[in-house]
Order: sequence, then C-alpha cells, then structure tokens
Amino acid sequence: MVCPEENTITEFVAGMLSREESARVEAHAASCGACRRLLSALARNSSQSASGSVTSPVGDGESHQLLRRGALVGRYVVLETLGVGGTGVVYAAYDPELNRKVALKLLRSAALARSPELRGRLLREAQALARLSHPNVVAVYDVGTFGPSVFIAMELIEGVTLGAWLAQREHSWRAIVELFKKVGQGLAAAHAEGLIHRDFKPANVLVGRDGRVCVADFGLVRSSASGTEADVSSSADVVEPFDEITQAGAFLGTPAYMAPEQFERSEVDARADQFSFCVALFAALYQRRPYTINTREVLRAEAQRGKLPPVEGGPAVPAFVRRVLERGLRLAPEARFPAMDALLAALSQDPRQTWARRAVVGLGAGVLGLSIFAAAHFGGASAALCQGSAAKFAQVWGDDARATIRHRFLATGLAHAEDMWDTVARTLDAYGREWSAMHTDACEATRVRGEQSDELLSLRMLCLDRRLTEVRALTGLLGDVDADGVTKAVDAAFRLTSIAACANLEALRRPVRAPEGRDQAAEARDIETVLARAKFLASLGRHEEGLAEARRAVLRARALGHPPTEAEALETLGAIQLEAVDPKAAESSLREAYAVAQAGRHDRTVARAAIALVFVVGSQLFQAEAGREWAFHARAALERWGADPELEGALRANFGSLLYNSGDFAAARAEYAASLAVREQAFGAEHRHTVQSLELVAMAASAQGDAEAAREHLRRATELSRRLFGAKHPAYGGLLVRTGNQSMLEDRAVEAEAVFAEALAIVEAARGKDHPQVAVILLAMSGALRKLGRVRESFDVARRALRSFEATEGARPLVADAQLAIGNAERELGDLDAALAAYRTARAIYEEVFGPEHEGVGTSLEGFGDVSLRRGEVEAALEHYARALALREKAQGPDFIDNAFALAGLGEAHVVRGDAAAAIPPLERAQALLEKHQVLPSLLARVRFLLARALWDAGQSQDEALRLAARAEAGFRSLATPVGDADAARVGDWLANHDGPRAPAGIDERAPG
Amino acid sequence: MRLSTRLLSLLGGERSHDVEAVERLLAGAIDDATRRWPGVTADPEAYAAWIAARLPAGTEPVEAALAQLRLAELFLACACAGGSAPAIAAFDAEFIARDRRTSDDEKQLVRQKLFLAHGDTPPRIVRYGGRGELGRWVRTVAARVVIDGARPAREEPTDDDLLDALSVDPGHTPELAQLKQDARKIVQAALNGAIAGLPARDRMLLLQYHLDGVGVVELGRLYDVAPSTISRNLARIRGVLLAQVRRSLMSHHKLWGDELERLLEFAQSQLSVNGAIDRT
Repeated sequence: MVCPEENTITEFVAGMLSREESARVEAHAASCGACRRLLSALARNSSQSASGSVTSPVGDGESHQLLRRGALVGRYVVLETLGVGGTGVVYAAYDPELNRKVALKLLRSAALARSPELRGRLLREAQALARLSHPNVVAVYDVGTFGPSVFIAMELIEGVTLGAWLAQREHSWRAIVELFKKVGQGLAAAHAEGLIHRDFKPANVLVGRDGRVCVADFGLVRSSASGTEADVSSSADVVEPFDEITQAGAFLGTPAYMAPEQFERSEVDARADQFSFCVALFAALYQRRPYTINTREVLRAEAQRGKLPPVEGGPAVPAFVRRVLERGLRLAPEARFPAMDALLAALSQDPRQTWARRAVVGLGAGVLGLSIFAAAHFGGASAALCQGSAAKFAQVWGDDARATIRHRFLATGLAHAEDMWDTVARTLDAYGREWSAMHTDACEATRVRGEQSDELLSLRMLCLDRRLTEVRALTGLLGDVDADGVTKAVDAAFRLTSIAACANLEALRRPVRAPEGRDQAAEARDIETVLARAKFLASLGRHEEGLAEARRAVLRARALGHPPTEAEALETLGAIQLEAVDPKAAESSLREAYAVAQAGRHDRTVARAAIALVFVVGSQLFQAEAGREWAFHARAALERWGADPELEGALRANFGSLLYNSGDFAAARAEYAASLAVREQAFGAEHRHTVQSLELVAMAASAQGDAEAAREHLRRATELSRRLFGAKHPAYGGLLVRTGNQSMLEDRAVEAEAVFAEALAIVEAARGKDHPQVAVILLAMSGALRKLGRVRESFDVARRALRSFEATEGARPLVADAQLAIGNAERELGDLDAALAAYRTARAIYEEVFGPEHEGVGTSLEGFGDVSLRRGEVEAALEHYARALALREKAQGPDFIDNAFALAGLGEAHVVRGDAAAAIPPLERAQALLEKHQVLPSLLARVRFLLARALWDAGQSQDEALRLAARAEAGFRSLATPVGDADAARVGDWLANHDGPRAPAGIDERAPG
Repeated sequence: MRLSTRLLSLLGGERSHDVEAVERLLAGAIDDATRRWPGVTADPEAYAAWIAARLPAGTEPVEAALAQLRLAELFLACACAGGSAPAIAAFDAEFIARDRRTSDDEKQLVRQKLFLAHGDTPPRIVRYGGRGELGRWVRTVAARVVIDGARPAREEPTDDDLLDALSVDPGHTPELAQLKQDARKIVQAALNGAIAGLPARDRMLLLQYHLDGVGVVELGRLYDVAPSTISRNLARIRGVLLAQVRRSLMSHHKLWGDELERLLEFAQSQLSVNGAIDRT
C-alpha cells in the first residue's frame, strides 16, 4: 500500500480533491497510522495561530501534551512551561524535598519509547553529566523516567539564552570574548569527562541574571529527533557525505552550527564542539555566520585555505581573536586546536591585556593585585558545586555571630563565662567542620565520585539544611543570652542534632514527605525553625518561653494537618516538659507525639518519643512495667529507623535508668556501658553525652559495690567534664560532688571533704552563695565533716544548708534532708532532744511530701532508733528500727544496701538488751549486704564487732567471734580517721579481754557509729 | 524564445491553446515571483520544462490547465531545485524558518529532505505539483518528516495505545485504575474487535479524536462538516462500539450480570471521559 504523496494530502486538506479521491485518501488513512496522524497533525495545524499552543504538532498526543501546573514528574511538581525545543519541553518545577526550584526537561518520548536502547543510552549520558560539576555547566540533579519519556532535573538558571543576551544590545568584542571564554571552560570541563555536546549553539547557553554563564543540553541532542546520530540510524536518507551537502549550496546558510564532519557517519569528537563554538563566537562578533549563503565553491575554497570570509565594515575585532576563529573553523578536525583548552589559552592571549596587567604590578600595586586575585579566586570557588560548604556554615556561625555571642557571655560577669565561651565556640566550630565535611562529601559522592544517587544527595542536603536551621536558632538565642543561659550554653550546644544523622543513608531513603503545596511546605519549614528555637530556649533555662513556643508550634502543625510536623512539635514539647520536670505533662505530649508520628510515618520521631517515654514513665513516674513496654516499642522503632548512635545511646541510657530504679544494677550497668560505648564511638570522648554515660556507669557500678569501677568512671567523667566545661563551671562542680559521694560510700571522708570543698568554691563562684546547688554540697560536706569528727563544723554547715533550702521554693524534701543531717550532728554532740526534734521535723516533711511509706521516713525512724538506743530505751529503739527496715524493704526490696542501717540498729539493740541470739540474724544479714556491696567499711566494721559480741555472748563460736572482732578492728583502723582509730581501740580492748590469754572485761556499750 | 513557445513545443502542440493567454500567464508568474522573492532567478528553459512536466493532463486548453497551477510558487521551486542560493534562502525564509510549529531540529530535517538529493532520489522539492499552496505542501512534508522520524516500529495503534489514550488519568480514580488493570485484557480484545469493524471514516474519526487528540472543530474543518456533526458522529460511533463490545463480552467471553455491567461501565467511561467539551 503506497501512501498518498504530499501533493494529494495537501489537496485533501485544502478540500481540492474530488469525492472519490477523498474517499481513497480516507480509506487509506483509516488503516495507515502514519497517514492518519499526518492528517490529524495538519488538521490541528490549520486551526493553530502561530503564537498559540506550543504543543508539538505531531506525534503521539499523550506525551506531547504539555503538563499542567501541579502535575507530578517523579517527585517534582510542575510550575510552568519555560520553553519547547526540538528535544523536549522544559518546565520550571518545584522539588519539595529540597525546597527549591529546578528546571525539568521532559524529553520527547516518541523516539525514546520505541527504543529502550536509546533510552538507556540517554540515561547513562545524563548520569555521566550529573557527575560533572562545573560552574559553567548547568548542573544535572536527577535523571529518571516518566512513563515512556525521560526527564532530567537541572539547575534552574534565572536568565536568558546566549542568543537573547546577544540580541539584547550591542556588546563590545571584549565582553563577548570574555563570556565565550566562560562558555568554553564549560565545554572543556565536559570534554575532560569525555562528554561531547554535539549541538552547541547560542540557544543552549544560558546567561544568568547573576552573570553566571552555563552550557546546557549536553550530549542529549544525540538521541533527539534532530539530524544527528540518532536519526542516522533510523532514517538513512538524511545522511549525506559532506560533498553532497555542499552541493546543495545554501544548506550551510541555514542556522546550523554543526561541524562538517557531523554530517558524516563517523563518530565526532570534541573538536566538533570546537567548530560549533567558533561558529557561534564568529556570529556573535560579526553578527553574521562565517558561511552564511556561501556557495559550495566559496566554502570549500575558504575553508581549505583556512580563511574566513572577509567582513567589511564590520565591528573591529582584534587580530588575535580572528586568528583563533580561523583555526577553530578549519574544515578538517586535525587542523583545529587540539582541545578547547588550547583554544581558550589562545583566546586569552590578548597582548594588550597582558601588558596592562604587567603595568599594574609594575606600579607597585602588588597588594591590590593580590586582593583582586583573591576575590576572583573565591568568587570562582563558591560557584563550584561541591565547594563553599564552610562559607555556607559561616552564614550562621561566622565572625559577626562569634563577636556578638562572646561579648554577651563576658558581659554577664560570670566566673566561668570565658570558659563557657571557649567550649561553646569550640563545640560549634567542631560542628561546623563536621557539617562542612559532610556537605562536601555528600556533594562529591554524587557529583564527583558518582557513588550516590541524586535523590540521596538531595535528601542528605535537606538533612544538612535542617541541621543548619538548628545552629541558626541556637546562635540567635546565644546572641542575647542571660547569666543562667550562659551557664547552660554548653549543654545547649551539645543538644544540636548530631551530623551523623545525615549519613544514615538507609533512614534517609525513607524520607518524611514534606506537605504538598508550596505554602504548606514553607509553613512546615517555619514550624521546624520555631521548634529548634523552642528546644534551645528550654535548654538555655528559659523553660516557660520554650514551652510557649512549642505549644504554639503544636497548634500551627495541627492546623497545617501534616502529621510528621505535628509529631515533631509534640515531641519537642514533651522533651521540654520533661526538662521542666513535669513528667505527667511530658508523658501525655510524648504519647501523642508517638501516635501521630506513627500515623505520619515519621520513624525518627516515633523512636525519639518512645525513648523519652522510657525515661518519663520508667524513671520519673516509676511505672517500671509500662516503661519496659515503651523500651520494647522504642527498640522496634529504632530498628526501623536504622543505626543512629544518638538515639541508641539515649535509649540505652534511659532503659538503664529504668533498670537502676528497679534495683537491677547489673543489668542497668550493662545498658549504661552499652550507651557509653555507642556514644564514645559516635561522638568521641569529649562530648556531653559521653560524659553523661560515664557518670551513669559509675552510678550503677557504685550501687553494685564495684567501687573501683565507679571511681574510675567518675574520674574520667570529671576529667572530660573539666575539659568540656572548664574548671569553673557548676557542671564540673556537680561531678566533683558525685566523686565526693563515692568517697563517702567508701568512708574516705578525708578525700570527700577535699573534693566537696573544691566543688563548693566553684559553685559558689558560679552561682552565688545562696544557690540551692551550694546548699546540696553543704549537706554532703556536713556528712564528711561528721565522719571526720569535726561535728561542730558539720552542724554549722548543715544549718547553713537548711537556711538556704528553707528560702528556696519547692525544696521541702531538701529541708528534710538538712534536718536529718542536723539531727545526726546534734546526736553526736550529745543533745539528744534537739536531735529527736530534727528527726521529727524531717519525718513530718517526708510524710507530707512523699507519704508515710517513703524511704525518707525510714531514715528518720533510724534516727529515732539511734536516739532511743543512746537513751537506753531499747524496746523503743527496736520498734523504730523494725519499722524503718519494713519501709525500706517495701520500697527497695530485701537486698538493698540501705537496709544495712536498720539491720545494724536492730542487732545493736538486741545486743544491748542482752538477747544475743536475736541479734545474730539481722547482723549476719547486714554483714552479707555490706560485704556484697563492698561499701561503708565503717558500718561493716561496726556490724562485725556487734556480731562478734553476739556470737561470743550466745556461746556459739568463740573463734568466729574473735576472728570477726579482729577484722572489725582492722576495718576501723583502715579508715584512718580519729573516729576510726578510737573505735579500733575499743575493739582492741574487747579482744584483749576475750581472746585467750586476755581476761574478759566489759567494754563501752556504745558501738562506734 | 518566448516562454509560451518553449512550453507549447514541449507539450507537443497537440493540446488546444491560446498562445497569448499562455504567455500572459507565464510572464505574470515570473513577475509575481520576482516581486515576492527579489533576486530569485531561474533559467527560462528549465522553468518551461518544469511547468510542462506538472501540467495536469486532460482535454481542457493549456491556459485553463495552467490557471489551476500556482505558477509563481512553481517558479521558486524550480529555482531551488536548480541549486540557486538566493532561491533557497528566500524559500527558507518564507516557508521554513518562520514556522513556529516545528523545532530547529525538525527544520533541519525538512531542509535536507527538500533540497538535497539522496542517491538516485532527487530532492523532494521536485515533487511539488503546484496545485496546492506551496506553504501547505511544505507543511505536509514537514509533518510527514516528523511523523516518519517518530514512526513506531509497529504501524498500527495497539490496544494498549488506544486504551491509554482513552483512559482517564489513573492516579485520579484509583478504583478505575485497578479495574482497568483487571479488565484490561478483556475489554481490550472486545474494543479492538469492535473498532476494527467500523467503517473507514468512523474509525478515522474515533482514532483521530481519541488517539491523535484532534478537536471536533478541527475535524469538522478537515472533513468540511460542522463541528456538531463530528460530535454527533462521535457519539453515534461510541454507541455502536459499546453495543459491539457488549455483544463481544457476552458471546466470546461469556460474561453476564454484574460483571458484564461493570466492564461495560468501564468501557463506556473510557469512551466518554474525553468528551466533546474537552476537545472543542
């Protein structure tokens, strides 16, 4: 079946055919797709105004229809049509992941659809181009398929094509050459990567409003419906040897920038681009093309002679430029420049300019020249795609911000302000380095090394952008921080989300979708910024403001109707409530955050909320079972989210605390140790979180009775904390107090007193004498002094602590603690009434605040027992001790170390009463507890001595009694305190009276204590 | 030698003619051509031969046959075929370069087709017959160049193509998209059979409307009828198709009841979604 020829078709459309002829055409077209489409195309054309629709006239309608605004191509949202070219349609589109506009080129599908091979090659080429990063090449961000077509997401350059730029007005030859030099650099960079443009023309060069010049549409033309290679294979009749083309004479008069060899079948190389480049440059300079309307003879003669057509009366173009053009436009590729670089070098050799530059230097303006060079150098560098990361970070943490914040810190006049500044600056510097390194790496992984998809690059950049938002929020707040804020600044700085989260590739691959719609996406970003601010407000001690901001953010997120944002807002609110010690409210916010995050598939927030709930529910609301349940959910969420040292460290620490509070110290210590390992590996030693884990391990080790490990971890924590916070920061002081407490547990009162004194000096200087933290140290100090026999001083500092607590709102339990310390001191001083009164006050407060079954009540009862025993009221003492033990066992179980106090009291009362047999069981229990925990050697010595006496008196095992007494004596002696020595002497006396040769004799009834 | 003499001698002098009228027509054509395209010249001998070769056969006098031809445009075509650079430049400027509907790349192809010989095949410009306007003819050549460039390996639209063209945006109604998947094969076969059975004009209309996306106004112009006639015809064709599809589903696929109705509803939606209002 022969298709009707064009004359017939034209006449059919014009209605010039007879009825039968028309019917023949119709009958043919009804069964010939190509002719039917031809008629359709012509029918449509006839109704189109020239300026009307830019829809491609023919082809498969579906893919050639323009996409409407809002259409989705991959993840990109079409905004508007920028232009229609031979190779496809270019849209402006929005990338919601990265919140930026891109140029989206949708390549015509017809040729691609029928050839997967062609499509594959196009994709490969585009991917190769995506790896190319050069300021003068339009960056390709992403390549993908869209139905049968291929789309390419590119950098959107706001500006005009080179053609339009040239047409705008007359440019000097110098301006044109300078611009073409940039274009040439883009081509050269592509050639270096083995990419050949093949369709270089002014329409494929973009001149940005910012003056940036970029080459676009690299290599893609090859697969389009143009007269180049792709069609060579599909329609052989367009291939003509150069000779035949030139025979047509006028052919090169058409707007062709192609090199002659491109019409031949042979593969072209970079020198074809060089030819096209020179045609364009020639046309730009002379406003006419080198071979326009030239006949075959002229072209041949000129090209072979290496002569360009004479341009009479044209613009004055220097000879050196013309020489470059002459060579670049040679007929034979071998006769041109070997590479673009050589051409560009020749184009830069303006004898006049070289002279001018020398003159500047000659005038001694070397410094000026240098600074100009530096500026130019930096300008170029920041335009390159994988550079300028540090500069970007400097926008939020630069010289100005540093100066402002430092000034603000020092203005508080705090003793530790300078140290705080140092650490905060160091922390932010380190964060910035990490950020920049990751930024560069993320870029290079895609653009340079090609190991990473563009989508992943986009997601990593988004992640890094969010980190930058946090830094901006923090530095903004630090700029007008108050004294309390300065003290908390280091903690705040360490609350910056770790950069490592942006390397969690698996998690990044499951991104949280931004809300659809531009305004909504902007609102979500805005809420994110508010949340970052809320978080840092709270960590700088401005809880109320932080809470208010977070609450507002929750409302806004709800109004936005975007669950992931709402979940983040709720999680932030919950975290601030937790910090502000409102566990009930925190639980409610975090539960909601968890549920909403699940609904919105925001895995990281699911994990964060569950992890926080482990702590809130398990360790603050003391619902261990519910806490374990949350730990279960948290682990599942973390599993899904992927390796995230920040979150894993937090989960381990929180679950450890739950175990610790349940009395399972071994398991708690294992969790704490795991958290330490994770954090140390991820953050390094010198990090707030690492220090926290060290403290926690020490705490669990101490509770387990592993004093050595406790001391070692505390030592490391203290040392790191001094480096992090400086030796004048209350946090360092706080760690010293912990160290002192550990010493007290081991009855190393001398050491304890020394570190308490150091801590006291630091915290007093940092926070003033009346700060509650000072009073807490005083209380600890009081215990140490009493152990050292400096009972009067012990009493005085306890009184000072009491006054301070009484003046502090909400410190009632601490008032009770101070009363206990006063009672102990009064007892030692011999004023038993005053001691009893203090114990009673303490008990009343504990009962009022915590209820009648709190362990604090038990401690008070032990005080009652001690007083009763001293007064000889043995029955009353027994009753107090028994009740104290019952309370403690109920609160902490039978194996808790604190039970030893009441057990020792019971034993002593029985011994005093003369009921040796009844004394033995509680004393043996006390001894076992103390031996297991290896703490409180003075109490252990006392218990052993009591047990020795009970065993002896009960006539059970004199040998055992003597052995115990001897160990007790050694124990007291090893305390190396006056009180210990005195106690040791008393045991010695007893031994002298009971041990074999020595005669039995009564000893002081009062046990050491 | 006068052009008329040359032409008439080439025609062999058997046909009736009025020498003066012929001469007037030819001279007028050259005047026209040089006015429209200054600087374009052609060898008179060649032009006379050009016309002689394209004169419609028949019994009417030569001058009457000549009057049916666009003699000035044939003059330009003749000059171009002779390789005259000014003629090609003028041709390019008027008929190719200004056409906003083709891309640069396509223009390049059209130029090659029109002005370059390929092996034994002469340049396409030789084939311009002179009855239709030269501009429209170039347009036809250009459209065919593009279609040939994009011609799929298989000539005929496949069922898939048609269903795709007929379908609504699958993202728009998920149920329909699902149903489309399920029913695709069955409806495809039925629809395809039904379309194959349509008369040529109906088939053309349906495919042009649904597959090529030509509106009813444009189709009306193409077939020289009112757009409303096209709409009515399309509605009628759709009815015929549906009836045929129903028959086919019932007899060949043994479908009944709900299932049948569901598929029919689907087929109907395929045919009515891109209704007349969208395309006019």
